[in-house]
Amino acid sequence: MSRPTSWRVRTRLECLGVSASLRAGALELAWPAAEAEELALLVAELTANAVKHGGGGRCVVALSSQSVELLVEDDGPGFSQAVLADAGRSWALGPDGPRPTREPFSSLGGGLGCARRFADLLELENRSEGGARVRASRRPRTTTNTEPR
Amino acid sequence: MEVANNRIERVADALGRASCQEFEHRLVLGEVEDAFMQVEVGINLLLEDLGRANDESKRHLAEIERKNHEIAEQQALALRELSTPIISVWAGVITLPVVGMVDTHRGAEMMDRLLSRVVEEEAAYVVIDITGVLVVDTRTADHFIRMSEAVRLLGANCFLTGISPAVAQTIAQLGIDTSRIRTLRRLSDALQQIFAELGAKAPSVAR
Repeated sequence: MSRPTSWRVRTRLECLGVSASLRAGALELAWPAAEAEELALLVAELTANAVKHGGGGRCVVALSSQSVELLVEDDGPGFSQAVLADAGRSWALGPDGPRPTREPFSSLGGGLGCARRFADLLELENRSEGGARVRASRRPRTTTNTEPR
Repeated sequence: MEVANNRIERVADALGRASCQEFEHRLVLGEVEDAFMQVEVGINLLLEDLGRANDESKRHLAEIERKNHEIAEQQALALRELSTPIISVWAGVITLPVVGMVDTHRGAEMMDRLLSRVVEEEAAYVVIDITGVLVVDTRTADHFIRMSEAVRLLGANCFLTGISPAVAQTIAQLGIDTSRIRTLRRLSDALQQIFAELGAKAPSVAR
């Protein structure tokens, strides 16, 4: 496991920066292109949530050829009980829990669901000092031809 | 020279507070002008200077913070512009070439901007080209399908082109009816089709 990298995320652009760095790092470690893209989406959704709901936060990434572990924290109001209970299992999520799935053309509330689909493990909690914390991890799902695992 | 203990204590106290960023306190000077008073006066002057410098740097920090905020807002605006490049290729024909990662936020923004452009330009044809999109979440795939449905509801024809095998799988997994979506392999195929339908002379397209 390589040394974890830590970023501050305060703007949408910084989220995309972290996302691009993770994609590049994964490709360098011979993750398949499609999976590297999924990692980029995973971290983009989690950091975007920290910026949108927590007014910015921190992201720590530990990446190796065998696994990735993400930690995203913010200093916002934290998750509501409904969001903690659902944790992205429903199609669309609001502060009061799952929202009607056929809500007209809104993609809001889909971020955690997307993160859940792209991560092997997704854990949500409220930090004791305030703010939200999300841990996500994942291993490569397909084997590459170049590097036997 | 004898200096009263309490005067030394007051000096130590003032310096202690200064080290905690408190510069408002001043030493009370006695009636008699002695050598130690020069030290006390000097410390008072120092506190004043430190206080002023501290205020100045606070103002500076606030200014930097404000500038940072301004830059971040400008970036967000620029990003919005760049993330949805809608191009009018012909009267009534607009294309949205999507390149790069589409997360849920970008997906939502795209929908808003595309639909308002369709209305503004009274577009008859819209081509959403996703050649540059490698992977999408099922939620975003659903979004693309709904986006083309919405364009159709506004009275325009919508083509979806450049679907990658991975995105095709994701769309298929959604299990929704996509029979009304007109999909073609390449952006150029869609443009040729549109020109044919418009009865215009289609320019030859390099393969």
